Amino acid sequence: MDKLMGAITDFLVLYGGWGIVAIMIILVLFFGDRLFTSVERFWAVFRHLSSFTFKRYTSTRLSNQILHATKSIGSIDNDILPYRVKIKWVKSEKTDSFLKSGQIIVKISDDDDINKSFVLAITEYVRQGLIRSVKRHLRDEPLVQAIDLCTVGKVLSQAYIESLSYFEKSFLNDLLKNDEHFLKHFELLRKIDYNGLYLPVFLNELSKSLRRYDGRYFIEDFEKEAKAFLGYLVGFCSDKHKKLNYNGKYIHISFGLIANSSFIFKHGRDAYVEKVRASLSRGAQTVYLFGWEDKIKTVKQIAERTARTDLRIKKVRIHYYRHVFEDHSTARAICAELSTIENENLREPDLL
Amino acid sequence: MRDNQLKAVHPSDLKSLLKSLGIYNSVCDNKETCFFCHNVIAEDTISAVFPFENSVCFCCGNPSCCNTLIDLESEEDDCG
Repeated sequence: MDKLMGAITDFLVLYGGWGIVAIMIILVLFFGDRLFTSVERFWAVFRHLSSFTFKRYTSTRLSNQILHATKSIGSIDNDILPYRVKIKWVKSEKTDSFLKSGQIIVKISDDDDINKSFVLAITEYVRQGLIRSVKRHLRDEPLVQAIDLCTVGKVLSQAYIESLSYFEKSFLNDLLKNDEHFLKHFELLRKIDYNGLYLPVFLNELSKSLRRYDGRYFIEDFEKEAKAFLGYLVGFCSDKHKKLNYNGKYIHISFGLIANSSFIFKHGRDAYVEKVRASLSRGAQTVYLFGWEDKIKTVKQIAERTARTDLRIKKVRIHYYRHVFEDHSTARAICAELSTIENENLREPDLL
Repeated sequence: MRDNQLKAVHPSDLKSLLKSLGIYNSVCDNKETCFFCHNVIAEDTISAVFPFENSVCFCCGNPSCCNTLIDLESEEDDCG
């Protein structure tokens, strides 16, 4: 410890002000989350002192909550939820600009209702930011709402459980009871989410597939494709004999399940590598490999080995999640995404 | 990463906000109601203020009203 302190002192003496800046950058890069949490705790202590400290506390808490959640969503694809949140505290508004803005102003007070304020704020945030380019092509309102609220549940579950239970009791359950179309879509999304397919596969593929069609204002048959893809994923979760490929108009994917130990012992890991390559040859643009518990390492090895041996694979992303089985037992799980799409911002040649 | 701005008001600033929007007196006179449940609204019971069809509207703290507010936002989005 003394040596470390000595080295830091030498560094500061040598580089002066720039040394302090460098150390600050290192602290933010490596301990950013903890710093933000500490700032939140600091304001939490003083939040009852004045409206200023309460506003600082609320802004930091909400930003932290969203930063924490978007970090895991952003690791899947930056375009799924590409916005950070910034609270603008208003004291006055011009009537004309308020009416034109279309934005709601949420009252956030320091009482038992703070969960309500947070849920409203996060719902508004998700509604504005989540897969914006995709939602433009969806006209089925209950489906869009189910996607938004399923994501709100995920954002809340990753940060503050008390807000999540308030959200479920006061918002979600009412909708599930009273709107059968919403219920139908939400149940399907929840089912694929339990199987790790909601964020890394469903939203990810919707977002990725449309990136190549950015120039089009409205794609008429995209909603049909989105629903067909959702139906396929639900079938993939439920069917005993799973169909491992989806070959639609906009989405082309393939799945690989690494679950059979005897198959690995008999044929080795390379058999799975060959299966992935065969899927790519059949037209899949992305192959998703799944496995849980003791197969997590194997999935990673197969993904790495395939990426090394097949130049068509341009990118490998690893997503960890908790798999929920039919009997509601859970297991640590992994989804490896092997994508052949090099420049995802590149548009299809025929649309340029 | 782009910033998404959320507007919020602290209870201590609500009075000045309502005044700037020209509706403080009507709220005090119990003339304003929740857009969804139509119950008379007061400073304490306001949960959100939002514009709708060229007028300033209110949502009370009732969870079902907040829920409907979220629905309304989705519908507005859908209409473009």
